[in-house]
Amino acid sequence: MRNPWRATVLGSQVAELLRRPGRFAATGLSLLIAAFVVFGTVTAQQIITATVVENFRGTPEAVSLVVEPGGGEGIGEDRLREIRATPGVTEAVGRLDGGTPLDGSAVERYLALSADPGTGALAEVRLIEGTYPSGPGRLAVDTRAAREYDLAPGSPLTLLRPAPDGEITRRVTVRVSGIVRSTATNDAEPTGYAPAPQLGKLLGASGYSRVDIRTGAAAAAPADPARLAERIRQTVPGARVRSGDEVRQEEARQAVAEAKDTLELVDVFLAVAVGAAVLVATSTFRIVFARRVRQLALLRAIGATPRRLAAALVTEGAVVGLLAGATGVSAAWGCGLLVPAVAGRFGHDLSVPSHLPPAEAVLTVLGTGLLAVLAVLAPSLTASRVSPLQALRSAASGEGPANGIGRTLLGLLCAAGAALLAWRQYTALPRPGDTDYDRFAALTVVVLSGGLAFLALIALGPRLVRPVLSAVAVPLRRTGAAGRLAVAGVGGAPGRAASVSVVVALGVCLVGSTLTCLASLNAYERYRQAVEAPADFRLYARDGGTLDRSLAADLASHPGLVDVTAFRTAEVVESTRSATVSDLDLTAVRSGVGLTARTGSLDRLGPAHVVVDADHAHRLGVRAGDRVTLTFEGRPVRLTVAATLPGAGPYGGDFFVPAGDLTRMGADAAPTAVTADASEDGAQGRIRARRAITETLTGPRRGEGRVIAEDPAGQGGEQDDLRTMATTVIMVLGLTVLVAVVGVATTASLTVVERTREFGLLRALGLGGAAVHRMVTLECALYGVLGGVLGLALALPYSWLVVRVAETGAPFSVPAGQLAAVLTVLVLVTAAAGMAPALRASRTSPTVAVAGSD
Amino acid sequence: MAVHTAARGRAPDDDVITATALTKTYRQGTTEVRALDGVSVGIRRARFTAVVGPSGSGKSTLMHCVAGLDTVTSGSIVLDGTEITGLSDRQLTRVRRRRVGFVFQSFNLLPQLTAYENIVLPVTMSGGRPDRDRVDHLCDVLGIAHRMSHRPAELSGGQQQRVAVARALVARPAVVFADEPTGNLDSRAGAEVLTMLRRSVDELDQTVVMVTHDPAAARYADRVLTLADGRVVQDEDVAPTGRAAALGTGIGAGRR
Repeated sequence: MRNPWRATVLGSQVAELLRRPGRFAATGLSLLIAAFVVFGTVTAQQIITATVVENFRGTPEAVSLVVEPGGGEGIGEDRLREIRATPGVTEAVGRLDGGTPLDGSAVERYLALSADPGTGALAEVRLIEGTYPSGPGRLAVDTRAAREYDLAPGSPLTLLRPAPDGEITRRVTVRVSGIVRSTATNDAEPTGYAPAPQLGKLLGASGYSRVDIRTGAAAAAPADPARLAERIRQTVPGARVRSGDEVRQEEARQAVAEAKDTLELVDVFLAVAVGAAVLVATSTFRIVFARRVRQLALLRAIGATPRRLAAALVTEGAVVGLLAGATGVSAAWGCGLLVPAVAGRFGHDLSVPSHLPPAEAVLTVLGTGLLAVLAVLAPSLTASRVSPLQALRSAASGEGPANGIGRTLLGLLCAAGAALLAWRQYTALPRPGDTDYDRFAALTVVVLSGGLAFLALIALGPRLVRPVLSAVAVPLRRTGAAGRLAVAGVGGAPGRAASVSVVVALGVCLVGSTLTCLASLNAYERYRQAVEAPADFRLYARDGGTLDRSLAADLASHPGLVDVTAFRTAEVVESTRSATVSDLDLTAVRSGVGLTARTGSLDRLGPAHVVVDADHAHRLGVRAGDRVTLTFEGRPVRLTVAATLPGAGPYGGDFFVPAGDLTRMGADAAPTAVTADASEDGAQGRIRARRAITETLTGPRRGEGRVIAEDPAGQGGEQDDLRTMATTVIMVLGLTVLVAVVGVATTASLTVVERTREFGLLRALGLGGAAVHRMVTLECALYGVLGGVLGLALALPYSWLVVRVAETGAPFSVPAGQLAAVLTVLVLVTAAAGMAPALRASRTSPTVAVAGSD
Repeated sequence: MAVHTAARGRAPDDDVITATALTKTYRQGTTEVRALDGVSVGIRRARFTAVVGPSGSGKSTLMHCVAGLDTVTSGSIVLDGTEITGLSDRQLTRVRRRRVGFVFQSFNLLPQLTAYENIVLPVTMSGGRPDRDRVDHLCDVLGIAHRMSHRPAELSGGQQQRVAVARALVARPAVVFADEPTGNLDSRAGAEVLTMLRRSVDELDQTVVMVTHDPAAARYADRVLTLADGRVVQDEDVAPTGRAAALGTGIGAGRR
């Protein structure tokens, strides 16, 4: 007979694992997901790196050497000639970068300038239309400049160049000769190109900031690169000479580093998902061991010590973890190989990762094993302390008195700590105008408090299940026997319900608070835009004086412009400080939807009333209904506060009064500023609007150059970044929810097997199969409801704190619709997770109830 | 077979278990239940003792306590020369491993192990090597030698219980405790198992303590202790009619 290795404590448990691979799926699934997402991130990094490197177009391939000047001096034209004359050099071009404001529009425009040969191996641009400039007074522009500034071959372009003596601006008019596309920058900003000598003259530069050299491969004697570099160093003393490959690698490294920044943020949230996986694994291990309690008790009865039992169970956990880790890593790598092919079908060009990173793979597998050990530790210790008497009991009782007094105390302690930290943070919230508030420290405290609150939730979970259940399940109880039984089933095993729901709560809490914070910050962003850039264009006098009274009407007569608003500002004295009072109609500002009041209402701004910004409201200690006294040119004016703003006022205004009041106070009737919007969105609309403003402002009648037009647009990119970031974060947090749902599914399938007898009894008592199915599905949905309610209960107060700490002026806005959607989807998904186990339960034969045990 | 008799070189008549003034109370809700109420009893070596009594009489509690599975409220238990009351869980575990064997009502075999692996579990678990001769001999006697590589699910109830008996006997324990060993068996399979226990006493000088509520099962014993309300109400030596029954079945030739 073979060596009975299985007839040991460890061997018997490993044999059990091999006999029931389904158990492995139950305990290992959450860990598998964790390993999958972790290694998936590693693979994603590989794909991104490979793609970035592949698609990266910086210094052209043909460049073999790059020369950069040593000191502040550029490399002069004669030096460039010497380099060209060096044996071995086939071609050398000077590079030069600069930029210039453009004339011809009242609205500021800017054009970056780069030197480029335009043709040949060293060119970084490709001609699309027209010709590449070959002589002076010609410039090629990129597609971006052509689109934004409405340029075509032949268009004149006036550059505003500083005169050598500084102050006076020189106008230099050039003609656009052609449109190009850059292979290096992807036309990220409006740029003009010309060959190096011409551009150098235009910019008044004395030398080049860089020289690219091509050494001829065709040359009979391929020059030794090192010797060539040495010779160039002699030609240009102090220069830094690097090989083209080195420069390209450096550029690629920088590009990759930028792309990886986003992934670093993902890593942080990944850690949360991994934590959730450990919680789920702990819970499933506990259930699996509870099902084996009889076996474990038998081992105890015939002489196994608790320590050996625990060691065997921990080993089992480690085996599960390592297997799950290896499977997850393989799966992630397989998906990584598939992604580029799939993405290719949808027109995204991604590169296949070159090789499996061995260190990361091994670390992920070992890490998963470690996580499994971490997860299995507590359940195995509990299980190993099983009384040997359990082997004699006819049926293992569902739940022991796991909820000891120590656990409750620990939970209360955590809750108290969380509340204390939160309260401290609440009392020390920053006031408007606090500039030295340490936001990072404050956020750390909030996160700490949140962590403690979550620990409290874990510890007190079993005690919270029944109260929360009784609150949410009232309608369910009325739906008939299945509903009542489901509520009783969840409430009957509060420990199990808590351990599943807590993970759901973690996911909901994170997703919910992220959504809430984002909604609040978006609202704040809208407010900030309403304050800083309420309109597309703002016109004001260069000397700070008044504007022509007819300007607003002239602008409004142009079809390219809408919402033309004129307003006045005046200096007043509030106690001893000077402040700005404005008659800007707050309700008429286009983005006025984003403008909200902290106290009072903006609509109440009538005669003798005033709207005060947050800073002044705080300093004067006023709220809606209070009175303030302003002094205008020595005369005091008493006003009633109609509303206070949550932050700064639009266009730097501190006090806002009706136009009639400002006139009564004695202010000049002529406006000091005019705002206008483009009538159409998009680049075309803006080009037309700019042209309209330019036409209105040009001419001697307006006093050439006296009025400045500001175009504060172009901040949209930031908003887009925020949105991309938010989407990424929510996707990763969604993984936490996924892990939680897996937890619900495994818990359901394990308990269903355990409760076969109960289902058999219910069937014997006359409950239909469909009703049993409904009951189990409802139980799973209830896990979702419990988790959702607990998660939101934590998410809302904490996101309020985060918003208050992060942006004092931000309104707290709860995206009720989104949160309700998250909750609904969650409940549906958890219910769906219970479908398969429910089916199994509904097929239980009534005879099971009367049959013998095993 | 004589090789295996008198495994422990002691006089067959001394007590392997001496229990003195055992009481055991536990709380059930708010009421206090007295499961054992001053029980004093000696279990003689190499004898088959049956403990009988109605449900709730304390017979199972008595067995759990003297087997080191449960603790007593007061009193003293000396098992094979060791005072086991007051021992730590670790020490109790060692006592169970070395000196006690169990046969349970519901077989309690590990489903993932074969019959052979189940039998040698108590030996290998403590790091020992199973005595192949003894295992083979036990299996021959128990009639399960051809079933050694089968899993419990592939065995009949009677066969499973005989595997459990072999497991209890394999480590030569001082006492084998059997808790309603025939409870889940039909009468024929039950009779076989009882015969096996009887033969282990007669042929291997094994001490067996069996808890049962079945008077027919108790007839295989040399002595019947009757418990009621936590006290020993009757203690009588009986002629082990089971031995005759065992001979009658003709399974074992014994040493006769």
